[in-house]
Amino acid sequence: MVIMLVQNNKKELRKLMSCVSAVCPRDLIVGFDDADNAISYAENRRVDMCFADAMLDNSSGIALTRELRDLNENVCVNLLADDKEFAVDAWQHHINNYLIKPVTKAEVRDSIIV
Amino acid sequence: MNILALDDERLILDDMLAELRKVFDEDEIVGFETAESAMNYASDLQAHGEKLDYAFLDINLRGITGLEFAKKLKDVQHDTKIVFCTAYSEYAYDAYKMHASGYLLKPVEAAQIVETLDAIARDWRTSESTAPKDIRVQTFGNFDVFIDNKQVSFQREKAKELFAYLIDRNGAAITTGEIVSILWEDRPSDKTTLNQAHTVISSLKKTLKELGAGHIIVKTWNHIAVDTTKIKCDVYDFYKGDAIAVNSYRGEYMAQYSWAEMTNADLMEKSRR
Repeated sequence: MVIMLVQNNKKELRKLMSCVSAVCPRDLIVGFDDADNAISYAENRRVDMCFADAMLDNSSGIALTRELRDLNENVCVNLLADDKEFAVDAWQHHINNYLIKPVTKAEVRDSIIV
Repeated sequence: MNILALDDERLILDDMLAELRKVFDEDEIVGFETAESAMNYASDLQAHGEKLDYAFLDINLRGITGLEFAKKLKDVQHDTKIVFCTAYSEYAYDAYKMHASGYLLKPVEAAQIVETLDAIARDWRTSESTAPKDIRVQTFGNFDVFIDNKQVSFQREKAKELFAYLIDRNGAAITTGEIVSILWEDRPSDKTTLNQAHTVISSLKKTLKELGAGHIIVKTWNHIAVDTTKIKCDVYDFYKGDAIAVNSYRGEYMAQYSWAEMTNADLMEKSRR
């Protein structure tokens, strides 16, 4: 399984990477601090799951979801946010799980089982 | 399938039931105005060994919230998919926390319900890394399927016939109603035959999944199709003009199925040219 992490803040991205790696040691985990680079990667490689920040520079987690789904309609996207603000949008776009930062290992595990 | 709708405002419940009837069979849906009667229904089903498949729940109920009700319901019917139907956005995060399957803003419409069901049915776990290298379908003569050169043994003859029909449809999606008309030509499309069709679909998916080929079936809420790009098939090669495939055709196509005669007639005509 290929798991993509998209988060503009590099420090937060590193923390997320270590958290997801601990839960999914056998999967390929790729991290991007830029949504465009993330999409370029997904154009060349099937992405099965994504953890994306709701707020991205020049983009958003929801916009990224739309682009990822154009490439793989079954991709499972989880949204990370500072608060509950985008939770309704997340439901309307059939986001798998909505997590408030900082994300814990238990929440990552939960997102994969849901 | 068993579906429950709960809303303590009669008019809104009636509207929701009307929308649900556009999506599900009428006799599968039961509406309740009180949490207590809805819980009794769920418990009764459990006592009779029946599953409650979906619960469409209002959140602002008298005496209990829909979120609290959902927790109690899950204690009785663990696998029920919960879909909240509310006029408020403020519970959206809580709904995620309790692993709900959907969150619809009122007024609920059939199209939203279908979208939610499709999202629930979507299986992101199908990964190319687990896909077998070679899936070969033979349609000339008798119909057979080979995965990594081993002949596939289907648990049910009807599941094999359904797969043959999906191959014949060349990637086009078919409804459960069409499946009934193909597999049980002389029987009407009613609750019994639709349930049997669902059993056949499950059996087909299970067989393919066990062999690592689950990804070739594309299933949405009420449609099923085959992903033709993942399969090597003689009849597809024939239509592409592949010389080996054209020469391997001997006048017989899926010989065991009567509905295949139409395609066979077309193949005969093309092979004479």
